[in-house]
Amino acid sequence: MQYGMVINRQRCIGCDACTVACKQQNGTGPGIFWRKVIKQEVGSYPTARYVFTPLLCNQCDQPPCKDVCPVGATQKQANGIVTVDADKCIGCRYCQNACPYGARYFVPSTTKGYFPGKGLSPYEKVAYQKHTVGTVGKCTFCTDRLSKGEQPACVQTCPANALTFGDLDDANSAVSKLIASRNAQPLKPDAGTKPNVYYIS
Amino acid sequence: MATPVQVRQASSPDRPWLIGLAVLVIIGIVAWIAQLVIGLDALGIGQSVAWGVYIATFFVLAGAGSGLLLGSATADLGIVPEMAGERRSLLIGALACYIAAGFAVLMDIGLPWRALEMIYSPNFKSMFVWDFYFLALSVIVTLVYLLRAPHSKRVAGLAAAAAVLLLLVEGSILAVTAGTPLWHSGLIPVMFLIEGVVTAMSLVLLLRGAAEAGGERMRRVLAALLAVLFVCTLVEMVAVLYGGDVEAAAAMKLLAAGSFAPMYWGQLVIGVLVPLALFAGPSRSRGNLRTAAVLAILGVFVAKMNLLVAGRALPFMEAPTSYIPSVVEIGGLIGLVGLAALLFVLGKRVVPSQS
Repeated sequence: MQYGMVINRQRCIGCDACTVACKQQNGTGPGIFWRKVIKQEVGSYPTARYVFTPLLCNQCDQPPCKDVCPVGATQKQANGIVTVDADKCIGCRYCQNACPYGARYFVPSTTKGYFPGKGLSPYEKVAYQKHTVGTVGKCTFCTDRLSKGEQPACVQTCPANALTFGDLDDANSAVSKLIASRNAQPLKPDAGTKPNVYYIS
Repeated sequence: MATPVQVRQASSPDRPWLIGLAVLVIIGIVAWIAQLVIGLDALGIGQSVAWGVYIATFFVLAGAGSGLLLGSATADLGIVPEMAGERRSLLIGALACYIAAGFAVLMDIGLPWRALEMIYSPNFKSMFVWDFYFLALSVIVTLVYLLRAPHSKRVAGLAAAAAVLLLLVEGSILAVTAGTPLWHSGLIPVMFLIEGVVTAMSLVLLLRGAAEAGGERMRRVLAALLAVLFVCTLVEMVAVLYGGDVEAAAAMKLLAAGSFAPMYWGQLVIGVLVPLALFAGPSRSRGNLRTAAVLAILGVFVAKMNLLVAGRALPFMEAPTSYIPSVVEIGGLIGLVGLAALLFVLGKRVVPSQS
């Protein structure tokens, strides 16, 4: 099994609902984006337009972050998801330098909330307990939701149905069919990482 | 009856130094405690430029340690026999630098008390682990060399190998990092090796001058090594700019003609060309040589900083970022330099000279 995602950039409206859903689901602090939407202006007037590129961990088949981790805290699970063991991570941040997609974030503190000067909100107090200061975290395709048979929070939230999630090893899954029918391509295919997030441009 | 008097006489000139260096170490300890309490928020690093002053200091100290160890080994192997008389100082200096380098890494990582995981649960695909073990090996070899086998050619050979391997592995930490294209270069480990030797030889010249045995040759070798470094830097710049890797070229443009250009060219001129000219020039004044040595050491430090920061200043598809060291990091840097110097002074007192 290899979980993967297809992102249809033609459908993405750049609303960042996925970004917010990810933050709500995972309780990441300010400055930490396990998922984000890059907005780029291309072309020139009168044909200038925005292009939106959601970025997240590509759950690579050959993750360079796993190879550089000095203590084996990063592992690729049987379902293809690359995980970080927060109880083992020493916080060297080598994996952040190794990731070609900028998908990894260290936790600088769990005392800085979204409302400066007002302390942590009750939600932040609870959500931040999931994170260990000094360690590195990343998108897990919402593993806890998957275990309950639910889709990742970003996929469920996207108002434009730009995100499709499923098993890339299953030729009949929606993701596999989309990749085949729409010629979806990963980012940086030459990086040798064999990503499992594909984009329809 | 005479011994205590001799000890007191020998130790008294060191006392102001020891007190001053201890103050520097205390500054570093306070900075580290502040960092542990506040978290990594206390550092100037960000999510893209995730390595800063501490890692640069680690590279410089480990490089200096290996250069000093190599200096002692080459003396005992008959390559630079004039330095044999300095063996004890070189080895104590190497140990001091290695220990301070170890602390630099501990201060950088988020959870330093978990560093032992590299013993319990090492991933040997990671250059970080190889670096950990080669640093440990270099410390052990230096200790044996210093305390047990100061005249052994076999240990000297082993020490030379350990020193060179450590420097090559340090450079490889960056060179194998494909996610940061500017670092992904086979030339970087070689430059780390040269920079380590330059730092060590500059330290030796700084502390004892060029008038001593071997000083003149050291001066000429330093000039040659700085010339090689200058050529390597320019070759690397041209190769990256025109090599076809768009991301690496963009980072190199930042260095060569972008916001980092003053640091990049400033380092090349003030940290490489000026000391090169001073070392190669006719002047034998102690002041000139000391200036050259200080500039060369600072040049190596700034070169590491340029590489670490510029390499990560252009996050994938995002706006450029940068890095300014925080007060805590500056405090930590002061502490690390003070620690290396303090350990050196204490080592010279404690380690018996007959070894």
